[in-house]
Amino acid sequence: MKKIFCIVFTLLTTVAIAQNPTTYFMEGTPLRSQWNPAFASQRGYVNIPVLGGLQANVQGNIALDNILCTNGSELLTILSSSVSADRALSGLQDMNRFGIGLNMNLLGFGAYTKNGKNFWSFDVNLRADAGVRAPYEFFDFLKRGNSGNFANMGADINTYIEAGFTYSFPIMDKLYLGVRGKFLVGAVQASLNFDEFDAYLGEDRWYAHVVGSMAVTGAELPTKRLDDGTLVYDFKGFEDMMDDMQMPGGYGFGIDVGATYDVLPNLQVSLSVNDLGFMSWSKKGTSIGQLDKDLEFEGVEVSADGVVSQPRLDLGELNFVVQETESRTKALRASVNAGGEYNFLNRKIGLGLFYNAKFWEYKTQHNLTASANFRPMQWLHLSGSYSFINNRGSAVGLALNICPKGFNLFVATDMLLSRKTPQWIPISQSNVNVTFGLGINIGKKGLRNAKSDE
Amino acid sequence: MSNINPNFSMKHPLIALIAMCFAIMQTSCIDEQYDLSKIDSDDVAIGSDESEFKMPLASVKITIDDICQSANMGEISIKELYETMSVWFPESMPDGSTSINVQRLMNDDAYFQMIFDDLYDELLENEEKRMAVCMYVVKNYRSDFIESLLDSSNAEIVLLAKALNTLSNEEAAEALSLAVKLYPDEIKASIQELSANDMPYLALKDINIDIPPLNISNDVLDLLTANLDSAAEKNPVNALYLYGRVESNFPFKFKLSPVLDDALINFGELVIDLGDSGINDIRIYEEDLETVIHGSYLRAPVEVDQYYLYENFDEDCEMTIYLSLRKTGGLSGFFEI
Repeated sequence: MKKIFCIVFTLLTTVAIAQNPTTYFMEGTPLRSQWNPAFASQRGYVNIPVLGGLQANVQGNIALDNILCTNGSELLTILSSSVSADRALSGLQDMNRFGIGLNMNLLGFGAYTKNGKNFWSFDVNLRADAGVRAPYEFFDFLKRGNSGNFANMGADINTYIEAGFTYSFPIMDKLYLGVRGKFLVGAVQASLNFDEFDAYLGEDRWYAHVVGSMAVTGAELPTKRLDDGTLVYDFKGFEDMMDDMQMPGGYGFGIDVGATYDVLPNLQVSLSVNDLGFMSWSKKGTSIGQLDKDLEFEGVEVSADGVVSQPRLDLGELNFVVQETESRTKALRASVNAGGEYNFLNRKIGLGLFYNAKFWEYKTQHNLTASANFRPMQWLHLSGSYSFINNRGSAVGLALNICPKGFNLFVATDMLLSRKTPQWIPISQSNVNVTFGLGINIGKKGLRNAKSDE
Repeated sequence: MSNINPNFSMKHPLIALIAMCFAIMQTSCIDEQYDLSKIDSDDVAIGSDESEFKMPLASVKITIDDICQSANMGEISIKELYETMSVWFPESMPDGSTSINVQRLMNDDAYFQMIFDDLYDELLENEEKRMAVCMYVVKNYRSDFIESLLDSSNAEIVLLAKALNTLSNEEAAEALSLAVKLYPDEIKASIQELSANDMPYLALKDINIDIPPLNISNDVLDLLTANLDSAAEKNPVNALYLYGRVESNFPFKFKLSPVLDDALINFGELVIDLGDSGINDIRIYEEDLETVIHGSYLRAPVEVDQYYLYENFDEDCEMTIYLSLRKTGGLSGFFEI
């Protein structure tokens, strides 16, 4: 159980520096097509590997200062014994969720066709996302310690390589459609869930009842056999997974579909549905485990004649029993994006509204972003945005795109104005996006916005 | 690529200004207090400094056969001992109390005298009690008693002494009973001497019980001991204590001085009365708990302080010692961060 809590808490305290909503209206960047395949960059491009598109995001409902706290000159976790329970629990939610995402472009290039309006692109990305959820009662138990009763605590990790081909084309003068087909090669998928967890540490007995399940594909976990012959997983930490990776873990396919429509010459609306698809994790290289255990200790009973009862209390008995493996098919985390932008002053200024819904394993997250976009020059774009996450005010985002002939540099973040650690991790912000892109522009400019560019 | 001008930023100061603003904004909001490289995770624990955890360790059941007499009566249970020795206890106490102070009876001549005088007065009125005492004397101390009577100045008593040699136990007891009634003062001293000689038999043997290893894993041991304050700490936050309680339905008030020998944990003198009695905290350390967990030996010198004359005393009487742990502060050693 110690190792399981270690994993969960490590994920909770890890903040990565995975899509940035401020980028939705940045016309010059190739990354925009990741929101909606109907979007196309201003020119053809070749991305610098890795630097061509690097997106990291954190999404959830707890921030760093909900997990860490200061005590004079010390920086402590809320699980520190010198932090009172009331203080530790004050910043937590009924169900605490935390997710990180990373999208790294390994290869990317695209170009307009001869008509200057159809656009195609090909990219290979490394995608990773991880999420963890822990109920308030879990932390209450850790802080107060006497009894705990909670359910549905868990975590999952998905990593895969995605090779995608995008094609965007006009249906009519004002309507563009875009489709992106993606072939997925799975690296590692892991999920861990505790369906039931009851614990009681009392004067009369110590008791724990735990029911849970785990599945890992892409890394073979070590096992051991108990004295009674039961085969269990002997998982000590992430290093066990890294030591014996077995790739590919599976294959999958996904599709993004989107459209843009110019309602008015200065008003464009857009809609897309992304990541419709699945990943099938193979049976080979899959480890499935089940945990259903009761531990109870009431002390040893002794009489002068000998031992009456001698119960056992061993946290190491909370093992996941090896189950028969099977292939697993999981749906990709689909999302819906809808936006609208009104431009004026010859498209030098645009005001946009963007809605994103991302379907997590256990919850749907809604994001509404209002954006002001400035294009003082054809090669210089600036955007400022404000996002609302699940009806709560979130963060101010800023983006800068420099896209003259020759190269394309893009930087966007919504942690610019927030309080940060020296490691540039936002302290009070539970949703963070950082995007960076560097590529080389090739070819002539597209003709989609030809009239306004004149 | 040939269109890229290396002096791009110089010719376009706006870009440089914007880039500088980005950099300034980023660095201006740094909070050094949240330097992640300085997270102190050494005292991560379940609970906090204000927490208290209790855990059962062992329950040790002591029956009537486990508390034995220590002197020359042989190994008999405390029940058999008091069934025998109760012949010397009056049916009602002279001061109206409901218990006999056994330690004073054994060691305080004046108290013994008071009790015996009361007993002897009862013998003169209570034929059944008188017969019981006389039968006990005849069965156990006939020759010694005869010898003490032969020194009497009363010729009738000397004759009785000689006759006791030839009678059966029942006949001898009847004869002695009659003599006590007829010549109480002459015989009292002899009977008193026998009673006084019996009092040391009320001393009890030490209670000795093996406590087997507790099946508690090292994970749990770490939880309890990983963050204990040292013995030098005067006001420890993280400390471990042994404590407990005793449930007894013996009709006695005992004084117990248990020691867990291997762990050298001395509980001091405990007063165990009829009903529930507490065992106060004893602070222990990691090595003590490790020794207890791996098995130890309970040795408990025991003596009876009070015997409750009118309480039930049967084969089902027993005493159970419940030992528990109390940990103050959080349970550490659970996370490896």
